[in-house]
Amino acid sequence: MKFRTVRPPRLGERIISRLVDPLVHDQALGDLEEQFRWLAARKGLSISRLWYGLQILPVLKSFILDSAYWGGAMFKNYLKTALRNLRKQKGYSFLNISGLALGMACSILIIFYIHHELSYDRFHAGADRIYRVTMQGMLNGEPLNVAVAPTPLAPSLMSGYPEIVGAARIRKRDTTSVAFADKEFIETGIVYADPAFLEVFTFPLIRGDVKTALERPYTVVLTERTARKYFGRDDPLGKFLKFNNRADFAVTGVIKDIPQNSHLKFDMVCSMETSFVMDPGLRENWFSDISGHTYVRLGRPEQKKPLEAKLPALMEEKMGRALKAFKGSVQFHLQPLADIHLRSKLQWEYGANGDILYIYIFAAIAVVILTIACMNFMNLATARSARRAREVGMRKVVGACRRDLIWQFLGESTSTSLLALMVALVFVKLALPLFQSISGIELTIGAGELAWLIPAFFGLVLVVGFAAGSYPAVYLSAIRPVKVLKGGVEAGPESARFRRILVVGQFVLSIAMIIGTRVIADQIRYMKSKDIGFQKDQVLAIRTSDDKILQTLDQVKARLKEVPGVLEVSATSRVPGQGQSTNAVIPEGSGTGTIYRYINADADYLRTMGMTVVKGRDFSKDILSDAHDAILINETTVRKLGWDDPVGKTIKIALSFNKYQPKTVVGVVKDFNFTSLRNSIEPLLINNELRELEVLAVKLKAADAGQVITELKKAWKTISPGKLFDYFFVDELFDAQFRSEERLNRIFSSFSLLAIAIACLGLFGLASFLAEKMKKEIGIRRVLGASIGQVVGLLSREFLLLVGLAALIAWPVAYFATNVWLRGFAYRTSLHPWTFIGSGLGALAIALLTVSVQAVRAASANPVDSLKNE
Amino acid sequence: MKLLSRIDELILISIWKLGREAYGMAIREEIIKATGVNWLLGAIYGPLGRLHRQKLVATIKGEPTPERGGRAKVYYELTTAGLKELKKIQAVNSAIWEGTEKIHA
Repeated sequence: MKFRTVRPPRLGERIISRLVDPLVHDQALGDLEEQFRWLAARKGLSISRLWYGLQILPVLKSFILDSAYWGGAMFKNYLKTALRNLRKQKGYSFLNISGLALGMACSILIIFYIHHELSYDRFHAGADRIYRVTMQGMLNGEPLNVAVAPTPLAPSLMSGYPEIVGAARIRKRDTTSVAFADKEFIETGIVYADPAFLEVFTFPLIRGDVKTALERPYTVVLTERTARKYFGRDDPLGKFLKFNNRADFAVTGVIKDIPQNSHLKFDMVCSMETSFVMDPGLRENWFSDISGHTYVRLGRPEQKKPLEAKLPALMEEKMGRALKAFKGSVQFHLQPLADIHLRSKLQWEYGANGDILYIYIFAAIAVVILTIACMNFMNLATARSARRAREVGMRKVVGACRRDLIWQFLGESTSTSLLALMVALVFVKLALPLFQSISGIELTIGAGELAWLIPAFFGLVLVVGFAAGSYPAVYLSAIRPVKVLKGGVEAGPESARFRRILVVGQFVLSIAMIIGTRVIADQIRYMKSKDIGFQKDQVLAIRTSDDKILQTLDQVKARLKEVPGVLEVSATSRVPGQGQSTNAVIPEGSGTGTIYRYINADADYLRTMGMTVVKGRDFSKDILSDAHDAILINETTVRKLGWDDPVGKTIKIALSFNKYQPKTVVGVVKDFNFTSLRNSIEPLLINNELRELEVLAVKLKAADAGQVITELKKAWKTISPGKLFDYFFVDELFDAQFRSEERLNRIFSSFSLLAIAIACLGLFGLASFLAEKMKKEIGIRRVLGASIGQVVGLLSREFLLLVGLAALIAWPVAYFATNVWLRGFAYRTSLHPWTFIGSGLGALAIALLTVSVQAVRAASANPVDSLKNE
Repeated sequence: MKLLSRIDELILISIWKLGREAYGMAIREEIIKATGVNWLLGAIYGPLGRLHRQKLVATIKGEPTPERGGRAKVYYELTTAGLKELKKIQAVNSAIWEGTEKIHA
């Protein structure tokens, strides 16, 4: 019984039988076991085990030294053949390396971009515990999904729910002119925020006290850059900034500049108290002016769910009565901070967000381009297999087994990919300024980035090396030495089929990308040229917050109209592209209220904006009652309300909760796009009320705008002395909504160019390979009288067929993909068949050009040269 | 005249001494006895293999035994060439020691 247990360690036996010459290991194992038992019987099992282990050491040592020696020798040989191959076939090596490098450079840039997008808002300490309170639900039969929350929410959350560690509101302030001494700037990035703002978020203060910086009214915290702008190197603390020539704000702190990857962007933070001092009703009002964002920080992330479950009670207590009046069911939700940039599609977001869809698109582009580049490598490697076949045959004859060869070829492809990475890094360096201007991202590469970049780069090298090298390795290592060494070997039909599939694959992807580019461009053009219901060209808008202007509006308008080149002037709350306010209204004939968008405007608005009245009349200065009684509605409103004869009907507009002012509809305006073409037109009221007028819209004659602007500036000095002339063009602002599409288009077009360039590099290589292989055939054909054209046709026919096939496959793929993208737009271009046909033909033409360069060269070579050797 | 290395020499002498009982374990013990150094078993096989390749020793497979885990002993025997080599060694050794005094140290 004991006999069984006294056995030498299995591991030891296995090592010996694996590593020791088979001629020896049988007797050695026997001897060792005998000695082991003898020792075990006399000195115990553990001693004998130790002894056994010691016996193995020299075996291991000699094995390691041996394999290092032979491995080193083989490695030297592998390296030599690899380098020799690279050097001897400069053209192919160039195609291979540059193709891979282009693909890698694209991927690296895209990795930078994706990493930047994914890093949004994660720099805050404990970012997983920060949530934004949003409101989602139904109101009046329409979905309501807003990123904002009522002003008093934050304090009630803070006092009633112990799991909330901090709650902070932030709301944007309108454009303000800010002055210090003789420096004055128009500031668009001013926000109000609670004192807790600096604690909920990680915006570290460089100067000032976190606890008190935003406590008192009329205090302001600046970012470093803003502080430098006003105060240079001086200490800003305790100095005063003059807002709108009226109020003095004391600088109580300076924070570090906001990182680029923060969805909250601002230049100055005023204390929330300031806004309560200016508008005392705001503090306690749950209903009016819901325009601020509320963020909470929880003690632990798992408290989110239970806390969210408690919020309906709060909603019911504070807003239940009003919601009932609007047939609404709205709930508070907690949205994780990290989701805001990429996954939030609510109304009234803090700023323009990214879109996770684009992350997926870009990731797909990176994979596609890299795949195309890897396919190139595979193609060229298998096409050239005949050249390596003899080497493989010889290696096999002298004892290489298949595994050795596979490792050899994978090693070669990986080192090629390493070389490609070096070249790619040079490309990246060169393309970086372009990348930054397109993506708007400033890359900073420090130690922190290198910590993940270097492993990522090596991962990329390995992935590309193995992906590109796998098929050639398997294919080449399978070559039969007998066949090769007996006489020339041709690349078999199997590898030819594989190459064709790869060429088709490359061009499917390239053509699909070209179609994508065309469709995006079409959509942009469509949106820009679509009849948006008003004339956005030649309209200048002047921002003003000067109350004096409102009081003397008629004189101001008259003064501006005196400027030569000015056709119309109108004061309004918003011009198209700026968004609009909303208000609760009760239209005639319906018992319940609803929420409509509205703008305030004077009687010249429609004329200035080139909008048309389809029913009833425009506002008139001559009808005195208009100024407090009249409203215009758009066609959509009429349709929504189902009114046959809208003129003369009344709509009651909420002044505050349960207090309404009736207005009479005097006319119907033709529908116009007020916000963007992503959204369909919604009901809109134009209120002829001279309140909240913040913009003067100026219609110019189509002439030299620069001249007119100079004149307007002069006039502005007399109208609003000491105020900046802060203006923009309506068409520019309106077209800004296309910016993300235009960016996508630029990125897509450059990447699809690259994709097709890489595919063509491969095609070029294949064509030259084919031309070389068929050199003799071409020579004979030429001697027998074939024309150059016939030979070119012979060489390029197959490639053209493949590209044509690729187009056929790419069309449905691209059709499906572009449809998915277009569905995101309310107004979308139709897909033209010509986009598809043209892209296919374009790819075909490029392919033909690539192939025929080689084909013509081969065909026009003197047959004597190719035939004289026989 | 080519001379064997010391370890080869020791092994050759051990095999001669052990006669029909010369297998790995026994050879090692013989050498340990003579040198007082605890030779690793593995260190024996290299020289043994070398001697075998030089045709100085021949191997004879024995019967498998249970205490060896069912593996057969491999016995070593001197070939004629091995025997000659051994003679040479002895001659050289006695020739070089000839006439020296006994060492007292």
